[in-house]
Amino acid sequence: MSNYRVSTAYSYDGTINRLQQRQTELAEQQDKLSSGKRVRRVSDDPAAAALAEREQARTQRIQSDQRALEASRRSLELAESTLGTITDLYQRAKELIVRGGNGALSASDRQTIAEELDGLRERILELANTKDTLGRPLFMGLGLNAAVAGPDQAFVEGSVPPSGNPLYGGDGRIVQWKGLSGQVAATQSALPLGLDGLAIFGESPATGPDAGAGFSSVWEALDRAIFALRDPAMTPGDFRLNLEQASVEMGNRLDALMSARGQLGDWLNRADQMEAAFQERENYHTAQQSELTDLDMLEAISRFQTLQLGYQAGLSSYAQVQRLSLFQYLA
Amino acid sequence: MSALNIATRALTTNQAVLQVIGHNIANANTEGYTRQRVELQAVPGQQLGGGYFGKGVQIETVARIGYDAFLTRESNSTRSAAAAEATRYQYLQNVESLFPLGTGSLGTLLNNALNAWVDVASSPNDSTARQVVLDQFDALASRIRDTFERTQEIGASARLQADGVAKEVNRLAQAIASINDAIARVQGSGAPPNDLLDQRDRLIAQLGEQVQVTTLRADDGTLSVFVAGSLPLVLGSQASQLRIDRADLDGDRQLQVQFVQGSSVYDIPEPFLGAGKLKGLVDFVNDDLVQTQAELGRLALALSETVNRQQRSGLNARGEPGADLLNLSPLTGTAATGNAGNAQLAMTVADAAALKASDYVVTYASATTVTVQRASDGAYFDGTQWGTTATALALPQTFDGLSLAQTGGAAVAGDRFYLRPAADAARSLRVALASPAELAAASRLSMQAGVGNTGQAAFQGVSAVVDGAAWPSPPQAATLTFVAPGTFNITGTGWAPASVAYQPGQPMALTFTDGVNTVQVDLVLRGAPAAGDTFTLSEFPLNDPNVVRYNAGNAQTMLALRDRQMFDDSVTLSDGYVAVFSGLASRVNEAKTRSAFTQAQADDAERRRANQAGVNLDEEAARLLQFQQAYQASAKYLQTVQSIFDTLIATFR
Repeated sequence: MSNYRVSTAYSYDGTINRLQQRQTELAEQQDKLSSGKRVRRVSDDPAAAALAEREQARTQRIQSDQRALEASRRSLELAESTLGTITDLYQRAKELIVRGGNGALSASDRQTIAEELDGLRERILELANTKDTLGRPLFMGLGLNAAVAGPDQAFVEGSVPPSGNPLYGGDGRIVQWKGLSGQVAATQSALPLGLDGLAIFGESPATGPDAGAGFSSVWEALDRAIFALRDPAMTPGDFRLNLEQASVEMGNRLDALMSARGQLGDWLNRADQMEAAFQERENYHTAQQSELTDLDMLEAISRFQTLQLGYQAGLSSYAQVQRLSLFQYLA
Repeated sequence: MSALNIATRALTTNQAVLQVIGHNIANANTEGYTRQRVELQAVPGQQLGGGYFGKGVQIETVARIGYDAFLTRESNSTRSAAAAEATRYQYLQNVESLFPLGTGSLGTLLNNALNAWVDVASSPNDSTARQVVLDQFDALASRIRDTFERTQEIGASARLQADGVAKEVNRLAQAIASINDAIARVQGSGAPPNDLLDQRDRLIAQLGEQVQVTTLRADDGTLSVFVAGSLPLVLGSQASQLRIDRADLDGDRQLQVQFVQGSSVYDIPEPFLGAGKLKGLVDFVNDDLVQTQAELGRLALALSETVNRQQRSGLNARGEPGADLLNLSPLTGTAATGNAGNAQLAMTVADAAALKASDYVVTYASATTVTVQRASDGAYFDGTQWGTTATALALPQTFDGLSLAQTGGAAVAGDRFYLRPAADAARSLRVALASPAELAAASRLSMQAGVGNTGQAAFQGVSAVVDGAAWPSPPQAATLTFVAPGTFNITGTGWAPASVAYQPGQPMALTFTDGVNTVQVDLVLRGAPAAGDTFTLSEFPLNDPNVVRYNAGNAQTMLALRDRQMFDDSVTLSDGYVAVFSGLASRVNEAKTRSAFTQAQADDAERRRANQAGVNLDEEAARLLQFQQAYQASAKYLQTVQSIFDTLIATFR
């Protein structure tokens, strides 16, 4: 038995097998080149495939965060422009209250001022109940309080029996808070959709005489001024006291409004930053995913050429060797 | 006369050698053919006076050259192993194509479904956003179902092929038995029946590709063939059969190979099969496919359990308690066909995060106790953990996030059940809700700051999830009272703990327990409270659409599920697809490597065998020349002898 022996049939079979193997490798490489993917199936590189799927999930998450951010930004921009309008109304109201305190005014002049203040009061209430594009009150805080009757809005106008208290709240008009107090915090990836109206506009007590320092809303302040301006029987002392008190309250409310606007400005700034950060992170995750699964074209092409060369060499050597046979020399 | 005899003998002998060379050349490309050679022998001489005079040449035998039993056996066994791995790899590749990557992947659908809640959270009163959630969950559920069905189809074709392989094995065994018979009959003649032997070797090689066999040569020239170590498939001229049957346990998915000899039937345990296509098919159907389905199904099971719990913890757009978003068929144990009792087993998910991608085998040790074995690693449950020894336990039991209970009937010791909760979940996962309004986007809990609070603390959010099957309507509101700026007490029946350290802006965990049902509440407050400030946590009134219209608290909690650690203590729900395919990927990768390795081994063994036993045409050409010359020389010698005779006869003229 010799170690130097080749079976003719096997040498053909073996060569054909090897050529087919080379051809398969070539086709595989061609497939990678045409798809541009290094990892086409999970088994090509399980670790890279798992990481790439994670990157894909991150990208999807960022896209959904971006949608949520856009929704928040629309609401916040609307809230900001609403509060801007309200600021102007506050300024005008303060002016009117100061002018109303002028002792030289006649009763009818005071009446005119009271009418205008009443109009401002209406508009401020309307604006405080602004709804976003989907009909949701912008200033409801965390939600609506089912226990308070009235339509779906943050502040509901109602009435209580007039207390007869000459100092304050004698008109019986009341604006009740129907929202749920509380403020969703901004996070790294999300902004709130609305604001806590209670903190901005203040609250009237539900029942009883409107007394107590902690419970004055912008509407109560205006009511106090309007009530005083419309009541010709009020003593000058009470009249001055009421207007002064209303003026102080309006000042407090304006401060609250300004701080809410400051907060909004900060959030809208943050929205821009977040959007830029999302974009950057999305690009990063896309790049990572591509790095994990995409083909290095330069390397792939050079490998393709090597494989091609190998296949060519295999074919031509096969063609030459198969011509060699002793039978060719037997005449 | 002797010279004439020598001449004719030489002529016929060389002609015979040329004939064998021709036979070799003719069979140069015949598979399994072993080259033959004529063994020549000098005819013993006769003593005539001065010495021994030879009487020419004769044929001793025609022998197979280069046939090596060892190389042949090695070639057969490596080819058998390669066939097993190649078959398994081929089927695994089919399964792998069901788990694509990138934008068409199951992971994309999963994240689409989970992320769709973002728009509901932004706008809970928008029915389009709600419809998108339903559509995305439907797309995910139907993809999981569809993937499961496709794996079932691949399994069905593997089972059909296993049937075909068994038939082929039986045909080959029959053919080997008849050749054995023919060989035994000519055994007496003394000369080896070369071509019959080649034919038998070739059949055995073919048989080895189907199933691994061992052979044993008997004195009468017959070859006995054994499968699975010691079961006689061919004994002399008698052949037995292999048969594919449904397995006793989980028979609609798994296979059992049986050995049939006359009227007796033996089950062949899976590891005994050794190698061959049949081994590859049985491994694929009974292990790879079952495991892949368990991995896919675990995602379905964990997802439906987690999402449904959160649904039950919220209120839908009509203000009603949320109903299950995803629906599964009831998880029951499949009884073995041979069970004597009629007990029924049912499972529920106790902890979605503890689920394992595995099936379980439950065996009744007595009428009331069972042993539980995990199919994926063979470990037994001992009531608290998994080990190597079987422990008899009384039902109900909770293991790997599943609660198992006997729901009816009576068991007999020895009864067996197969539990495949994950596969059943993947098979039956559906979206149960029809209307977008039924999505429970709103939180069930409402928060109110006490009237007269003097501090600045305010609610920021609350999330709640029910731990058990049903929301235990908290009958009593919880009142949080700050005893100091840094601590608050909770009063209310069923609420715990009694005292909590205040962490502004951080979720603080509370629980409400009512009987078996527990609600986990995460509460976030911020700002500086003053001592004496109170907050109340109460339930929204039910069936009031106005209450829930703008409330997206539960949708927010639903979004937080994406980052819940869900699989194997490390993979989050949104990365759940990774847990599905990583097992399959490593199996395919391993099969690929093993297939390439065993194929290389088989090729190498075959090369060594073929290079020894196969025909080399150059060699035959050389021998053709050699014996052609010998024939010509013999003819010349005959001519010479004839001319000697002629000369002799001419002298008498």
